[in-house]
Amino acid sequence: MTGRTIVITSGKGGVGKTTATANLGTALAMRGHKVVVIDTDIGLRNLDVIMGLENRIVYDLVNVIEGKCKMHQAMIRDKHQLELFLIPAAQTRDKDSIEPEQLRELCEKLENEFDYVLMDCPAGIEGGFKNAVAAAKEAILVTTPEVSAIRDADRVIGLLEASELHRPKLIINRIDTNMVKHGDMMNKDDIVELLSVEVLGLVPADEHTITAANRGIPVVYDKKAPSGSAFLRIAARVDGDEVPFMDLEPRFSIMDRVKGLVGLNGRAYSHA
Amino acid sequence: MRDFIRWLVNQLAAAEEEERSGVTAKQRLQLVLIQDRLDLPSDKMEAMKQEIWEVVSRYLAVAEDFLEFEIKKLDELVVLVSNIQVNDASELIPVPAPAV
Repeated sequence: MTGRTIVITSGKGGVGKTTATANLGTALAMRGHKVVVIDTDIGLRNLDVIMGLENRIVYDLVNVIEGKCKMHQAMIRDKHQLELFLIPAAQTRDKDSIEPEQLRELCEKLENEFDYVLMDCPAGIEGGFKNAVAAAKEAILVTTPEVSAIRDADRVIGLLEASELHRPKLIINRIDTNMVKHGDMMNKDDIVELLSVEVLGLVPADEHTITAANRGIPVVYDKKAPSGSAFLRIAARVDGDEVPFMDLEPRFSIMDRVKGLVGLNGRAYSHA
Repeated sequence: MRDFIRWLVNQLAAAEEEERSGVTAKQRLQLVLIQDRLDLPSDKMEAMKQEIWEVVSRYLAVAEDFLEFEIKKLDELVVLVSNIQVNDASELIPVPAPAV
């Protein structure tokens, strides 16, 4: 079997890479795939806590690469999905502990056993980013609808192209539908126009992601969470299904109707 | 009640007049991304501006500085816009009189 090795990256920190990796990995496993997620953020590991596996870590990514343990010893089986595994980052080492070539070799071994190898990339464009990008064959870019995140995403698209990772797919995270409706947040079309990339999914801003992270249970398990269902749909698209984009447009409010009546509602809101 | 309606309409009109911040964000990003993608450091940009001024000033009497000199988006195109004031005819470089 030859699995797909995908890096989840963003440039800017704090836009939701780790959350996206955990949920995408979980959702793909729920669809019956064998999945391994790798935390490549050496020194700042977090994927373990988002997945609720922090108490099970014995060995880590650097241990495997340095040959201190076997590959399977560093793979932590998920609590809920039998075919989902995590290789955690080393917490007490720095990003120069591994070389791009070493990570690529590891991913190639994993591709023989898994359908999906997902790498959670560190923020920034330095060594850790270069390691993950060198090992990946596909890229998913996470951004939020903010000027700083989009600017950094554009820079990362250029760097991915330079590393032969063409046509990265975009997840737009934390969309506040009310702000979009009032014209105070860029919408999907604005962002696509700016970045010229294909959109993989739209994730609404949702408090459930925070409570899910608090508990260490990915939000895809929460049937009431809009962000959870967004990630399930994204996983289906990654898997090759055609899934229409969620309608993130809130119903028109009474205020909009009043404005419409007095002829002030000339602006067309189109998004999501 | 009539006063209230008038107040309400004024409030709504005021809210409409101000450009929404999402539009501002997009316009600002369009310019920033053009600059980022060109990868043209500001010192190189400054050098180009100086050279262009020198070329133009060889042919025309022009103001000391450009009114406008920037790379921006014009519909689908990325363009360099430079505007420079040409001094009026009396200040034009005199053409040498033909030899008698």
